[in-house]
Amino acid sequence: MTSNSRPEHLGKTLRGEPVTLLEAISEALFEEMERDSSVFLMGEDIGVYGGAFKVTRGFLDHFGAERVIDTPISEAGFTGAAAGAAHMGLRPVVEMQFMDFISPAYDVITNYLATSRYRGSGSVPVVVRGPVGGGNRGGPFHSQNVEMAFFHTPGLKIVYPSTSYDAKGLMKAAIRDDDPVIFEEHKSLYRAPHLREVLPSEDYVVPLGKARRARAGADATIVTYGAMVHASLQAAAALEKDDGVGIEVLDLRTLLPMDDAAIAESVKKTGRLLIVHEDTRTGGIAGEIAMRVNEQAFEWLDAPILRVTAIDSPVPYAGGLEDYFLPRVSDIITTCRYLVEY
Amino acid sequence: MAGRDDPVDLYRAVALHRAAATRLKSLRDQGRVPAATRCGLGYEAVSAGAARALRIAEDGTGDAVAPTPDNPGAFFVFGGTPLELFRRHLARDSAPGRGREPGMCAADFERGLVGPAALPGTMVEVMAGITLAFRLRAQDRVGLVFSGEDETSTSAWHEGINFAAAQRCPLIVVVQAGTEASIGAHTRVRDFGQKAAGYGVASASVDGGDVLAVHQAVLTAAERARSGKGTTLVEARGCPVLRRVHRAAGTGGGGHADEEPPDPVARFRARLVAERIARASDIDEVERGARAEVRAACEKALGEPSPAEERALGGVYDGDPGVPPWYRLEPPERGLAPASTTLPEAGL
Repeated sequence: MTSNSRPEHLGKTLRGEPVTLLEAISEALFEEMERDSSVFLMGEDIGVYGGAFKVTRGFLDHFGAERVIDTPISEAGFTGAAAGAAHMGLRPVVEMQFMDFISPAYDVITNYLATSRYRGSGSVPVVVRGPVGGGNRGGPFHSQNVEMAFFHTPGLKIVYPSTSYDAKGLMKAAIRDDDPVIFEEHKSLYRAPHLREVLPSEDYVVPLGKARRARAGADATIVTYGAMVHASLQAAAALEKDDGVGIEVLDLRTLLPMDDAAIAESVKKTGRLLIVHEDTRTGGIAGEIAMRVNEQAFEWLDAPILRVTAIDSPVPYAGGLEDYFLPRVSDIITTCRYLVEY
Repeated sequence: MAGRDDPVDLYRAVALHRAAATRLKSLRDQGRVPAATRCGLGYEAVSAGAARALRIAEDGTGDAVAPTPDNPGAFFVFGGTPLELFRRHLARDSAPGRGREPGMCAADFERGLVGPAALPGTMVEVMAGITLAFRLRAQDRVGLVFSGEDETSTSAWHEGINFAAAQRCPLIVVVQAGTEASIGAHTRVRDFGQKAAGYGVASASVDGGDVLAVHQAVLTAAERARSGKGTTLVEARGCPVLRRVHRAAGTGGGGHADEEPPDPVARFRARLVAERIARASDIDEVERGARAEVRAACEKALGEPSPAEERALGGVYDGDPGVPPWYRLEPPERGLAPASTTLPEAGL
């Protein structure tokens, strides 16, 4: 039995009320399913239970069990099945209960979904979404950032929003995209009070591949994404207040495709670049960004490119250990001062 | 659909499979296709017999099949041609996929052809999703995926068939099982129906060298799927097994197992003649026709060009034209790279 009316908790934007980042994602999924009957959801406990984080609460009653499918604990199985359904013209959105659990699906995502178009087997418009990130005492298996496990695979797009507005617009763009998209949602941002905002009531998308200047500045550039956007903004505000230094913060929003032009433009203005990511250090995206800037804007650099990242370890469980593991605002401030004084 | 159950038509598909597989083996022995190329010798009965039990259409309304490289007969039954097969294997510019992928079968969803992916078990997952789409859309369509017996040990195969079972997908999984000698290297199961039972899936077991037995078993499974009863596993016994299994089991020496297949083609021919379904002269004519078609297709494909090197670029994403590295440009410009992506939606 399905319901025709929109669940009340999914109507906040229509009522002009602010929404959290999680609610923004829920609204995006709901509205895309309303707009396009080919969009459907698969994942573990997303139906009856509404998802581990309740992103799909109320969806089963509204859309029915054929569009909100509770799956076995089979990340590879249902992701591969999503590819098949996409071949037949459907637009599946699959939820990883935690993105840490995407590992079993690595094979089918990198070998099948990502290669299908290039091989001549057609597009695979599948969105693989789920919660990522640390700071929640989730330990090694419920806290990882997975972007770099997939960043190296041509054929995939990777999205990682930092605001409610972007989360909704990027999710809509991802669902409408004809290529497979990995969509990372930071758990710490899901219900963060400071991210509540009133969103436009009309339909909108945020195009994939376009970065956002989160803060303007002339003395150094921070390129970052996800939860680290907010840490970087905190650091930039402190540096302006305490040191009179102007830090520009660029929120990538989409890691693949990466907005090289926006990065180069900012670096050419400030001459100094810091890359901040919550992901671990070795093989992190900072290395790739540094190389691109080296190729495209080397002459404009006045200082070495630096990075602030998590340490190279699994995500530890104990609070103190995890706090040490994660990048801190003070780390960003320290590094920016070094850069500016270089 | 005319003639789907006509044994002589069925023999035509079997003969075409045999002719193509034989020719492909020659190309392999000549070093014109990679040494690891699977030809499909010995899989004629299971390939053609199973595929002809399905409904075939060229407008995206028929059933769907995912052949392995051992199943050219199924590819031909679903409208694939020997010319397409040789273009793919020889990586010609004219091939579907334009030389970007080895194997026989390009995906052509209008014809119901799915594949390939040389990833053991993955196509069971994909076909689970394709048949899920059939069910969600209330379409009277079923899907069939071939898998080697060794694939049944992969996590992908397990998750795929379990998902299909849980979702009552109208899917038929044909396990091309070897002889008892091959068992032990990768499973203790002697009857793949035992695996089916573990997933709550119905099963049937047939002689994989008997075209008509395979055909009947898949017809029954397809009817079951069409009536909403979900997934069926069909075990086709006595198929050739891959070299690596023989090696692991210490039973097959160093040669290609598929070079010494049982001969389902001869069995089928003898039966057609013995039961007076066809005259030997008519069957000879079918075989000559198949060989001639395959010979002509192979010669044509051999004479066609390989793709230009630059065709490696582009097509990774929607609208992606591909950007050559600066040092491949003539003349090379300075070492500043262009923006690494040119996706239109990125606006770069």
